[in-house]
Amino acid sequence: MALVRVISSDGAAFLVSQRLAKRSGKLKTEIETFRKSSDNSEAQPEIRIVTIRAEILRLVLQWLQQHQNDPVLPANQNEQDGRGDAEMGQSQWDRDFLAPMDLGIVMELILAANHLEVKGLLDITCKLVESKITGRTVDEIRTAFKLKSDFKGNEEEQTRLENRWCVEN
Amino acid sequence: MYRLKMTDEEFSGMDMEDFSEDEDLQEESMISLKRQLIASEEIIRNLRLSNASQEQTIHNLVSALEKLRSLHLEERKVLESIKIPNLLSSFRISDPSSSKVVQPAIDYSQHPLLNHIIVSNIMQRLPLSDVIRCRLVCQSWWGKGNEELRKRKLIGINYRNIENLSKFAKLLETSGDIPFARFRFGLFVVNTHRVAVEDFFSVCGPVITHIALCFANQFCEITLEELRDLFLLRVPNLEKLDVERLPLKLTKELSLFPPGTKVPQLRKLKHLKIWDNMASDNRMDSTYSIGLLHDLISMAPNLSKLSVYTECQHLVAAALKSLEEKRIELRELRLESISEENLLYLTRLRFPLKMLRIEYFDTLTAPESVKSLLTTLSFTLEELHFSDYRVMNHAENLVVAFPRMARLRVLKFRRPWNDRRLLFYPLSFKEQLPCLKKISFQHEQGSPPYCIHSYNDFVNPETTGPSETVEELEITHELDSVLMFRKLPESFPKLKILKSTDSSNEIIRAIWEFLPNLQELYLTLSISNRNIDSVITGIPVEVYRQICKENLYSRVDGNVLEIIRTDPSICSLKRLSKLVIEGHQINRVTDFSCSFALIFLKSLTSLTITDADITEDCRDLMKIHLNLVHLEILP
Repeated sequence: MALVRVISSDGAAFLVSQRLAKRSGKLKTEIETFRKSSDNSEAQPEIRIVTIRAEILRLVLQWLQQHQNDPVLPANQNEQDGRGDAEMGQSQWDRDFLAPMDLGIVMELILAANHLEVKGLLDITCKLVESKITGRTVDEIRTAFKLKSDFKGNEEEQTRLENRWCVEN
Repeated sequence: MYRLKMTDEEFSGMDMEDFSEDEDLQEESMISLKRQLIASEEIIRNLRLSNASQEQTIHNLVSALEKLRSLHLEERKVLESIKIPNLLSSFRISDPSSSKVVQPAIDYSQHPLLNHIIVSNIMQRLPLSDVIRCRLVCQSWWGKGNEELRKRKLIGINYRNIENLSKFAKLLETSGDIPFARFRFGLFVVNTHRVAVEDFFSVCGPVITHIALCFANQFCEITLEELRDLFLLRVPNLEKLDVERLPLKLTKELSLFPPGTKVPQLRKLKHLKIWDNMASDNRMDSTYSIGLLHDLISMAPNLSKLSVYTECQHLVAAALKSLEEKRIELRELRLESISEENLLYLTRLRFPLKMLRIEYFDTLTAPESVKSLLTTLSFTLEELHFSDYRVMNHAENLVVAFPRMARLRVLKFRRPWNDRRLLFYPLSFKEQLPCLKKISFQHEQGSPPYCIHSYNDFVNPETTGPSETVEELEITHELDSVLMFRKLPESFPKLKILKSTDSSNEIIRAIWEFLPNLQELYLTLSISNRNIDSVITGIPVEVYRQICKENLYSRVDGNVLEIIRTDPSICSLKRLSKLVIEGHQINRVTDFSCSFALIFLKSLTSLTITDADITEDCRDLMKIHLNLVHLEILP
């Protein structure tokens, strides 16, 4: 069983099977690059992920492990027929996985999933964020996402007027 | 550096012999040993010797420590050579109990990449009404919201708001980033509002990507010069032009650009759609001039999708001729009808079509012509829409054998008018349609249900063999033969998605009985679906009525339900994750279906019921019982 060491930004090493790691597009490329550059075909690849801290990396690996037998969807499946999400479905496990998380952690997971190219995880986390936007007022959204209005002059008023046209016509 | 251990489960399935040889693991066991040593020493140092029980504990610890030391004396040298930082708790990837609530470490609102991912991944999935609101959150959301609006929002300019067009143009003039790019103009007199239209296009023209024109009405007016100078020549970035209807006198004129003038080139124009007016009594006569059509096609050197809705074959021939002259490689073609002659012409052009839609074939169409067209497309075509074959008299059926369509994924049959039809024979899914994913039999409400014929051609395992690839089936017409329906599971063993309109109660019951593996179901009910609650729950009509009449809801518990549910019910669809029921005002889905059936659909994540008669309490009940991501109930 071939293994790979994945090291987080804060120096934690995770020893995982290559089969599992390869479900991340980024890790797959890294493992392949390592193979090409290494003379010893038996050598164990070591991959440093400088942007992801241990706790988040652990969550990503945990998710990958749970979903290791899912079919790998082509990256553009969603765009192609708009049905990718429905086919995936969100499992009970995923819901339990995300339920205790603070929005900030979900955000970090989104970044990690994006960086490691784990489409399924990116999908479910984005969906969660999506649910924090639909039907909310502008102020509610700003509070949830800790965003401040950075409009200048009459930009906000201009946008409001455009929105009115948009709704009425 | 410390290491995170994998738990035993993670190694299950791994070759343990190979694994124990692994140097890393040995190293790992040493690290964990070292950690235990340090931990023990720490405990001893920190403990206060105050009572006997603690003394005992410490004694145990010390002896354990000694034991460990003596056992691994040799390895200590190695151990000491490994640098270990402060004591850190060890993580296990797969042990949920160890997944304590993680604290956020970044200020996500300040993260530029995160903001980018959110706005680009999420905004495109939000409903337009939310996108509009998101534009007001902050500047980066505003920018992405603008992009989404330009992609999705179509603004209609017509007699209702034409008076405000100048105001609109003025508003957009001060916009930092005009958020509208798709417009539909029509139903007003252009000449009267010329200045406003000019103003509008001088502000928005360069942003506009889609224009639809609809001026064929007695209340509106447009001249050829206006069409050209006010609309077509002011949109350099046009991607789609939809000429829905133009006034007769305009389309009869010879051409948009006088001979000798240079035809302007809209290089981004990919999609052109032209509808004939159908104002003339003789539908074979076009109201369009060949010159106008030719000019429109000539403006678009990079055209890839063309739709020409006309019955006039001169016009179809002219379109094909213009395409040939301009050497345009069409990818999608939609035609209302095609004559035998034009069919041969189209075959000769050998377009690499991915999508082809033909509503009607001419009476004189030879089966070989259809087949040779399909043969030229056999390596490119992904989607094919046919309606039936149009005949004047009692002609024979048009029998066509599919060539092997290597990429065909979607096959749709639409709106047949009579029972002389296009018939596909012989048909073997495996040989001829090896990639087919979706079949659809569409039919307009109120037309006679002859479409059953095409259903019968395709859902007939004895002749076609099963299709291992078809996952989705749509039947938008009354299908009332249970016998025919029963062939479905055998024909399409991988069927996951069923869309059914106007099916009888018997058919709906047959769905419960024969298609237990469905993952998505779209049911559109009709006036004929009486007692739909009884059908959904599998509780016979008499029992259902009695429960409703005597208000016995509270008496029906799990045990009772088991006894009274004597017919197949929706509960047998154990894998159903999406359910959409479009109710009928006479036959509404009520609380009865929800409490006695829908709440048992454990895989359900998305539920939509329209024309429903469902109380708030029951809605809450469903939220409790089901893990719904999407719930929409409309009265």
